[in-house]
Amino acid sequence: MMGFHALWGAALAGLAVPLIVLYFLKLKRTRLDVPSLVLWRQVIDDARVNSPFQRFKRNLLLLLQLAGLAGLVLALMQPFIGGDDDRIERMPILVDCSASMAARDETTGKTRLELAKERARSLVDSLRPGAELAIVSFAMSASRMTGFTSDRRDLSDALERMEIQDVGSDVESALRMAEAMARREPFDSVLLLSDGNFPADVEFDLPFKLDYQRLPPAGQNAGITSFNALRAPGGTWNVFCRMESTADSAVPGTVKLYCDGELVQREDVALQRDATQRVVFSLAGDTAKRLRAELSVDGYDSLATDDAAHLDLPLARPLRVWVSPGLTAVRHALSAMSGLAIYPGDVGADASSYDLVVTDKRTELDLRTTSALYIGLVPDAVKAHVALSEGGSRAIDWQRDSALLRHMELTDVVFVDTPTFAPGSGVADLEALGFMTIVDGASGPVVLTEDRGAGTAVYLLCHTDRSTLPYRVGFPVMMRNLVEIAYHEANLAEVESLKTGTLSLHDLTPGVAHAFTTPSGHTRELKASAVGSLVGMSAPVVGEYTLTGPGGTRMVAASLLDPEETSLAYAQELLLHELTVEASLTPLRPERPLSGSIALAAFCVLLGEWWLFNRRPGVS
Amino acid sequence: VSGALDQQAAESQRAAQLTPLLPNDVLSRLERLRLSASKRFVAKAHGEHVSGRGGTSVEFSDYRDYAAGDDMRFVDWNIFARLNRPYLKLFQREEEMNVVVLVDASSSMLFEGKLDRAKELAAGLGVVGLLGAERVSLGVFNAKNGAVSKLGPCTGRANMLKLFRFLEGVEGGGDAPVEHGIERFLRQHTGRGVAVLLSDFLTYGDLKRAMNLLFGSGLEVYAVQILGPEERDPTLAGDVRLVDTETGDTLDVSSASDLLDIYQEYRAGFQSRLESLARARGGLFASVGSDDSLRWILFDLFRRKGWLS
Repeated sequence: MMGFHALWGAALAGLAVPLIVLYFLKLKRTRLDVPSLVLWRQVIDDARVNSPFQRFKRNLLLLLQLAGLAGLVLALMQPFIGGDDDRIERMPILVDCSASMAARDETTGKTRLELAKERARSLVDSLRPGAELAIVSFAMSASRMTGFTSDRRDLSDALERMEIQDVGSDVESALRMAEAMARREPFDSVLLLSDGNFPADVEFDLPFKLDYQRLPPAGQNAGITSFNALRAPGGTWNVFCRMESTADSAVPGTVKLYCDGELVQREDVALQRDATQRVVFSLAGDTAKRLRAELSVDGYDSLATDDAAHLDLPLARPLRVWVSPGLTAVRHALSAMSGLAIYPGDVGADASSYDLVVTDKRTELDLRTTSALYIGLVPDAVKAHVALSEGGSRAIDWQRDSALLRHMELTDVVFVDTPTFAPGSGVADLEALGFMTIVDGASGPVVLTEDRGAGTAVYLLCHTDRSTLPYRVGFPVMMRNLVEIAYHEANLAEVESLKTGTLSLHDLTPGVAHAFTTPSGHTRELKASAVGSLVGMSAPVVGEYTLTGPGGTRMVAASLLDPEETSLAYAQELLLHELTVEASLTPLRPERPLSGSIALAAFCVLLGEWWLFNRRPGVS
Repeated sequence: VSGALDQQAAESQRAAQLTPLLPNDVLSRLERLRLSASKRFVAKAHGEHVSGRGGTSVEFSDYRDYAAGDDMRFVDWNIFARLNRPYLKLFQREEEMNVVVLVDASSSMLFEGKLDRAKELAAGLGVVGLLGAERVSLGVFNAKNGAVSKLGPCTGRANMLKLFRFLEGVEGGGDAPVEHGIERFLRQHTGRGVAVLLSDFLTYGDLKRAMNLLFGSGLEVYAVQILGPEERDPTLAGDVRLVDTETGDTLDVSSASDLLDIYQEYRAGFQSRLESLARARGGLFASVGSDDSLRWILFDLFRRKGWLS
């Protein structure tokens, strides 16, 4: 439907009156003396001369001038052919920048993000005067690229700046960002541009109209969705590589395993939709290795970022365990397990750091370790809330799904020490301090765990020597569980490939600044925590990240490894609270301004009129 | 130097001319031509113009039946003796013919040398008449002062210079209708013969009446329309305001180039009408351009049309 943005421009049509008057007053006619008008009068009186067409030609210049004026007036009125967005005054555009948006179309070669940018750009280009748009990009989190603005350059620049992030997408974060924007500057509708590769169920109450524009799917895709290693007996690693494909029929492919840059193994696979392929490589664990798996398929593969995965395989060494010499029961239980190097004692000199420390001495709290079991020690931070007294206590309840307490029965265990909450204190106070209670006694917590980032510290507040626990069958089970936890936290049992999103690194020099360099070369300085950890480092793209500090340079590689992104699946509808939003494949039809075209046409008409006017008049 | 010499030669040649109206070679060729009148609108006086029948010369022409009142002297008695019926002998008669040359000197004739061409043609035809022993009269109407000037009738070579000077002195610029000038001329004219009317005929006047006046006076009308190149093939374009030089009237014409075809149709129709007017009165019509060669008009066009022989 056609409309006008500036109807006041129609008032300028009144200029036609002086134009006509001036035309007739100033009509440029060359006076030409002729012997007689006898013949010319007869010619002028001829019916053919006075035909409508000839009448039109007689005042052609005037008609052209009027047509030019009409065109200019029409252009000033800013006419447009209404689009789907003709009633929108303010609208945020949410653009999905997740990994799946990098999928390229087989025919056009365009990524989904490029397609989304094109659609957004068409809306920006046809932005009506006074209307405002905002650009929000989202993947795992949303980022506001621009606020509401009518400035097309700002909007276009924001679209240009948007880049793919090799992570999954969280549409809810984008909607919450839009909701937050709506509180400051209200709007009626939101445009969501995505390939639909996100969870369809969104916990969100939609306060505005959501226009979900789903981009057409790209071609078939195949990728690595999991890359990990499990420690096998004999000091070897079993490396698992899982691959998935969206192809309807089996597509042959090859997965290659590179070890420190050298191709060590390759396997041929046949990939098909809903038929996950898993390949196992066996590698010696005598040295630490950097592994890289690469998948190539015969046929089109729309997403490149999921075709490679990295894995840092550590040395398959024994678990270094420090056990205080006085803890005989613990030592006895651990001595029955293989693959452990127990300190002090049987394995040479003491190590500088341990994978597990089991102690009941406060002097040994400073030992560097990943996992720890502190027996009969109340953490200093907890002392204000929990005190030990003697009198005997029992375990009343415990978290049976806790990794430490698997397969354990604590009902009959009697503790001489009695942890008691200080008056007014409770579990909430401990949780506020970062301690979780996994075993509750009658008057206070019996076992606490503390997540220290790099590992877990378990505080058994009651000493085992003053309890019946060592005499229960559950004790060696608990020790076995503890060793398993230590194995995992020391990455000695299983190694997972790091995924894009956020990275965490440990065993760094505590409190020291480190230079963190992304694959694109951008470097920023990050300070290690007091326990020597850096957590939550943003790693939005696939590739190798470098951390440089006093202890040297460490390289870690992040991989996509997201089955959802690899599947390129799409949600046809968004299931919101009490509302379902259907996806539309048809792009919003932007408003088509006609001012430029009409002004150009009017200019051409006036140019033609000027040419006619200046054409050699009279005798040619 | 060569330019000056050329100019001097041209001036000396002009000085040697009998009249600026006609070159000497044209004059000498005209001496050998005679006017051919198709009708016998002749004067009773004897002249050098040979009439078809009924003359009194010695040259036999034909016989006809005797009618009461015929001169008995022309009865062929030999025939009468043989057939016992009277037949009259007819002889070719050499008659004196009036040649009236009428020049329209209106303002419209001042364009593109039309009046000059009219004067030249009048001089040429006048010379032919004088040297053919015809009674030549010249009439100029619509001249600058509006009066009708008349020369003659005169005859013979002796009046040639007089004729030239008369024509050389003609100044155009009048604006009266054609028939008014003709009417005023005919008031002073008597005698039958040929009237050569030199005009562009671009007049609001009644041309039919003008023709009737001449025809009624016993003059066979030779109408010569003289048009300028721009009248015959106008090249107007765009928006123009045409100004009638005779009346001062104006006419706005837009997209004139698109009207040229219609103009040509009207011009051709106008010429047809003039021709039919002349023919209906036993006359002839010719249209010439002011840019046409004088020699071509006199020695080619007029001879082919049979006006001169």
